[in-house]
Amino acid sequence: MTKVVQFPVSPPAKLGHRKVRKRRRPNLEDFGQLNLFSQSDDNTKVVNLPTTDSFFEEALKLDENGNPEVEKYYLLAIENEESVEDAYCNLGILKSSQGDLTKAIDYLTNCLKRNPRHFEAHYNLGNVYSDLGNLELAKVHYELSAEIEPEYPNSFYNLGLVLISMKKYQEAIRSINKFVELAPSNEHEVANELIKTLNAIAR
Amino acid sequence: MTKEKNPALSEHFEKLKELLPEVYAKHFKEERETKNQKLFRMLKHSLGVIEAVYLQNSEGFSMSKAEEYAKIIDELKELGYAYNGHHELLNMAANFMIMKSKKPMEKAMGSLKKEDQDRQAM
Repeated sequence: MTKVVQFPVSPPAKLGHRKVRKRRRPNLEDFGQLNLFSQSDDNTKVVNLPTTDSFFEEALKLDENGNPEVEKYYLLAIENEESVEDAYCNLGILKSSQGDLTKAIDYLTNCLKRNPRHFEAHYNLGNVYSDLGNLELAKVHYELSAEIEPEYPNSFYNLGLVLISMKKYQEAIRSINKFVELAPSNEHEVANELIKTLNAIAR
Repeated sequence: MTKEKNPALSEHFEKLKELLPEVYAKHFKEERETKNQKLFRMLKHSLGVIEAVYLQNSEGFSMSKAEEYAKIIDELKELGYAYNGHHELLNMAANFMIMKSKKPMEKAMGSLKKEDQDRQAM
């Protein structure tokens, strides 16, 4: 008679997902190596190093991005004698945009003290004085910037607006015509409309 | 002593009010006009105060304040009230409006601009 013998069966190991376990990082020095790549402490600061060699160029980049550090970099540029006139000029623009027109005039005139023929400083001073309602001074500075850089159209446009405010319509027409001559064609439409209106008033 | 309302008469007047609203609303209209007139008088007084402040210290009076002053006068005119305003202040506001459309400031580019010019020359 045959005998049925029970074959011992071990339950199969469960197949499926397997969790990843965090392995302990080996200490390389236990294996006789120097640990050159140790992790930094959590309180280590990430420092943004300037991407350019010059403080002024760095300031220009920060200015483009509206970074609040920009003033510091322009001042550093002045301290280090890098594009000093231009740094003063741009600080003037910055202060004007912050509504501090007195400080804006201070920086822009500092620029002119170093270079009395700095055309951007004259042009920007024209803008600051017109914001203050001092049309006489605005006119002088726009005229000077147009004299120094006769190919720059915006001096003529803003001068034209000042002349309109002063009710000097014929001179205003001449100035805005000059702007049309120099400016790219996409800027002509508004200026031509202005000239039409001025012609009607001046008659 | 309070008058008792006659229900028949009150119904009659209610009907009349519906039929001739312009006649029965007259009383309220007059009252409203008086209020508007009062407000206009107060506004004129306030504008006078602004003008006095300007005359006392015209240099300290900012362009944007002048613009706000001119806006009030324009709105008054649109509402049908006549108020001429102070000539100098209105002129100042007009200048401010004109200069608002000016071209923006120009940044100095340092040596970058010079390099560009050299490239163009080449």
